[in-house]
Amino acid sequence: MILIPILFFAIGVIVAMASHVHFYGIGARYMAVACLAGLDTVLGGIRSGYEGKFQNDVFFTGFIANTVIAFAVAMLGDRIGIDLFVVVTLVMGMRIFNNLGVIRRYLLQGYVDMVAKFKRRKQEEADLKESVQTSALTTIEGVE
Amino acid sequence: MVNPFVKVHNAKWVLPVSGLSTVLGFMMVASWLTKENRNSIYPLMGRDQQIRYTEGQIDLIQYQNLQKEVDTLLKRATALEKALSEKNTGSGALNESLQNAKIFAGLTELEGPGVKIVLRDNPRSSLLTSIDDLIHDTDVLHVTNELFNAGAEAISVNGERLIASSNIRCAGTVITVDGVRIASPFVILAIGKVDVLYNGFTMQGGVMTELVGANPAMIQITKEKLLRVPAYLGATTTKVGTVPKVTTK
Repeated sequence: MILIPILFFAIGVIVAMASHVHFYGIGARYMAVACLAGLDTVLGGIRSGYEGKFQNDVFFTGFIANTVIAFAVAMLGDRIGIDLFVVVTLVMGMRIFNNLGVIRRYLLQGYVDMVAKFKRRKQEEADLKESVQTSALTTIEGVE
Repeated sequence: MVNPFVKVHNAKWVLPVSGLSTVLGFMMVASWLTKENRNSIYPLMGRDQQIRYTEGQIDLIQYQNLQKEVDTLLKRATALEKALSEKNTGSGALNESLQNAKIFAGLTELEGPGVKIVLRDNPRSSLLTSIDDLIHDTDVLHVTNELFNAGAEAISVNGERLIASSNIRCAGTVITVDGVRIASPFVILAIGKVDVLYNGFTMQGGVMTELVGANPAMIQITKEKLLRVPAYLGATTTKVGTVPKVTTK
């Protein structure tokens, strides 16, 4: 399931590469910070999806607001001479790591569950076979 | 922890998140730091440097002047080409072009308004002649250089016309101009815009102040309404260089 957003991300990358769109100058720096905010929101969406708390409106407004605010804060920082984009980078970086950690745990849990299920099924099959064999043996014994 | 895959299968989050992932990917690539904008020194420059970098890339006035010159030259070239094709008027156009070249080269006399400058050794010095009391070759060079800088079209020193390859140097008690010996007083005639020549020459910190500092009698400058500068009379043949037949671009 998580592969679908990754696939679409790749599609976006390819489209941008094909269309040769580029931000230049100072704007590119603000845009990088905005990208960080966007990444955080997308990861937050995946996380809330796994947690079953996903809400469309919250997600979309979060994405737009976060990117715009990150952009604006970085720009304001440049205007007033304080490197505020460092603050945005720090906060967004922390949140990204948080979200990634949660997502990783869910994925790991899923993997562990899957392995356990597989093992259980194998065990069940083995048990079934054994029981069939034993029953067969008994019948054979019974015949002889 | 509940197995998340149970919920994921009917997940409503996949589509919105995918859509915004696409947007995010687009944004990231669009703001990708390319080699050019990362290595650009633009952000490291000061404010006025940035302004100069963006606005002062070219000297606009000089550019326009050059463009004008290119324009006139092109027109002249076309006129010549036309003249060559129509042989009747060809000789006239060729002659005009030749005369222009000769004027530029200093092979003709030239008449016009200008300034007359007289440099002479310090007349008051008697026995104790110091080096500052004499006019040297460098003084004459400075003066002529200053005049050319002020827009002089033709200059002569004691009747010797200065051309592109002219030289002025010291030869013991006299100085030579293109090999011709001349002695003090040095009369320098310059044709050009009178006011520009005069003011450019007498401005503070110019050659004039330097020489006048020694003795005001050593240098005199007068505005002249009509001057006649003689033609260059030296050798005009080149012995080493030849004009290439094929112009390489």
